[in-house]
Amino acid sequence: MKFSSLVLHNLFRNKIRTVLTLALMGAIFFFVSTLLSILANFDQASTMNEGQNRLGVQSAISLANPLPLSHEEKIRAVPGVTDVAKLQWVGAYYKDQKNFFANFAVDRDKMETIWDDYHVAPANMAAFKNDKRGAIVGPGLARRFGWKVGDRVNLTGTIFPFNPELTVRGIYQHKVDDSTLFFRMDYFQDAVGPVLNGMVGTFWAKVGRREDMPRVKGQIDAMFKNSDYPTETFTEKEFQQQFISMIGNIKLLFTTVSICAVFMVILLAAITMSMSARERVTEIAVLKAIGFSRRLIMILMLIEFVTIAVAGGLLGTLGARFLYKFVDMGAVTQGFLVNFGVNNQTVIICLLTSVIVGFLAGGLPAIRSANLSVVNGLRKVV
Amino acid sequence: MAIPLKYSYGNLVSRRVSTTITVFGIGVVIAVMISMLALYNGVKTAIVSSGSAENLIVLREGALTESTSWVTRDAYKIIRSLPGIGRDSHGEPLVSPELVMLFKLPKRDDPSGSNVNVRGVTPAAFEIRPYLRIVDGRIFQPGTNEMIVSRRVQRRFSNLEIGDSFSFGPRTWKVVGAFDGKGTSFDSEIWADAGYLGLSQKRDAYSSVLIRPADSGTAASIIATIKGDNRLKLQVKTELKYYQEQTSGLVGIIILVAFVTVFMVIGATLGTMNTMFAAVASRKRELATLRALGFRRSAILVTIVIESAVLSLLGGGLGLLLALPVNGISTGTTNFQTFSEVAFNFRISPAVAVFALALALVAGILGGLLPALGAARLPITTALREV
Repeated sequence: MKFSSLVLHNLFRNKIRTVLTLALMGAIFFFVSTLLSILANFDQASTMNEGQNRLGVQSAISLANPLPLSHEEKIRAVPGVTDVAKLQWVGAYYKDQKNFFANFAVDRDKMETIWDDYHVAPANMAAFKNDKRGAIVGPGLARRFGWKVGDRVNLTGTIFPFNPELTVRGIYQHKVDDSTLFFRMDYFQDAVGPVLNGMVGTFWAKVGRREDMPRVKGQIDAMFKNSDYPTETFTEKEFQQQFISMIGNIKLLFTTVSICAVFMVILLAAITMSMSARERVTEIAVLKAIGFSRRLIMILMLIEFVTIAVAGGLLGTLGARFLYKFVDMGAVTQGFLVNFGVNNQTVIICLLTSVIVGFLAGGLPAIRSANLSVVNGLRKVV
Repeated sequence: MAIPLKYSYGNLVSRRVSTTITVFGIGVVIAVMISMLALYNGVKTAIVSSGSAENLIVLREGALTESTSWVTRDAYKIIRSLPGIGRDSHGEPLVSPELVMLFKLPKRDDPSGSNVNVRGVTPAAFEIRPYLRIVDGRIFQPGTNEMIVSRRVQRRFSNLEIGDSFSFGPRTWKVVGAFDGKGTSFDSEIWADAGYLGLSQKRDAYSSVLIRPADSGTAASIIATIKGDNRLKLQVKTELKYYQEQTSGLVGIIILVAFVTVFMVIGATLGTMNTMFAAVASRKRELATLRALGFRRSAILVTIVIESAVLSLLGGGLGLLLALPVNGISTGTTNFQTFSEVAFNFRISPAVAVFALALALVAGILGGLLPALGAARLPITTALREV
């Protein structure tokens, strides 16, 4: 501790260099934090509804192929299933095609039984049930488009030749998903009419007991296996994961890019740190002459280098965390990243990485300084 | 008078270790940047290169993709009889009705699978796209459950070799041939008989109709006729425009590529700046001597910036070399506009390479500017006295 002022003094010996190194570290750790957070964000999306005991039933051919409405009662009859609802992805946009967000048609009375993790105030839910063209929206969407309860919202359809004309009747609260719009299945079906004759995109079944889920899942798919409309039943997690796996191997891509970026930082930081060590050869020789041990000198220099690295890492990762709190990434990425932020785990990973960067980049210069011969060091003119 | 280039070169050589490390550091970030640009370039090429500016595609009004569009058989008949359409070698109009559906199939590296575009076609589809070649096996028999699969899809997905079959419910599909779409988005597709595909999905309407007008003059009148017919409720555009619009599903990739590029350039700039500041600091006396000899401040500034630019360009060149093995790697992603798989190769085109080197140069100049300003402003007397 008594050497802290020495370390501090050395840290600011060359202000430009310290600031530049901090900026470089900060930029790269901001970058790495963002990539890691995108991966975490996808993970979060796939686990957000854990424990809801919901099973999604889609066509085995693909999610884009609809299923006949007659499947609903057959699914309901499977032992263990407490309720079933229809859910249709509508794919409409608001004003501009770039304003992408999730919008679904849903059975009006099933929000409360199947999607009870989407909390809606009773008065708003009643208003939704009373208005055939009512909609329930997420708080993120309300913020992004400036919607309030009572606002008219006209969407433009893409998948179906139908433009939903809706009124916001409620804003739901959900622990993760803040950017979905639900409107009523009866409105959708009447408007689309013969286009989707007697068909719907997916069914969602609520299962009473968690341990029954694997059996119910198998039973539903077995029931329709040889029908004209075979099904594939997913837990909510599997359902979400299929979208992420469709993107491709982004885990590999992001990890590789992050490792390359960190590698570059190590190389460039090593230059700066050797430079900083070389500048004070004489000084170190003096320290050694007055009795500082090799170990102490090495430790002091490592503390200095690791401090810079960690400070840069903190700057980057906390900067990212702070920035994404205030920037609506849902809007910036046109709905690609919803509820985006840097979590604690990412901050910790970045901090640990920055410690490693400090040791790797500063290790060699520190050892070299420690092993410096006093005589040569004192003689050297820098 | 300008300081000879030899001086900059000599300095880079004399600081061998620091030059090498800096070049490596910059090389790594430029390589990452080039790889990301190559990814974007590859996906974009795979989508856009399918579109011909001569062909017209007819879709339902409001539909953004073929798989969410439908064109009734009656509308197809009306379109087919329009005047001004080109003719094939048998004298038939070059009009291709097509039905596009998605099949979710297991990938080789991911059994949970992705959606593949399955295109139901008639012989006209091949007439209108003469570059498409069967490279193995044979074409499907009309009215049967046979299909042909692109080579790239065969490599990405499991169980699609010739002779393989798969089932959905009571329907079984058989692979009888492989085709090469010459780098177009049809390389991401499976083709089958339109009639049988419609039957299997209980679907009567087509998704789209592709037209080859006799010449550009008749193209305009065909467009006007289809748009003017209120019964049809159809839209018509060039095939090229249609495929260009499909790239809007790549917005996620574009944002990612832009993000990576910006940060890699920032990294390269700060890296060069760091090294150049150190380089200037270690030869203050030398620089002051140059000034004392009569070189102007501007000459000092220019020589340092040149040194920095060369350093960064060397990094850029190394980055290009490091990234070269990425070129041609074949992979795939889902275009969320069409909700289907795009098989593509990473493509380092000359444009990508030049763009990356230009950015490396910019990073070098930006990174060299501040240290150069500092060097040019050194007071001669104190700097000469520095030990």
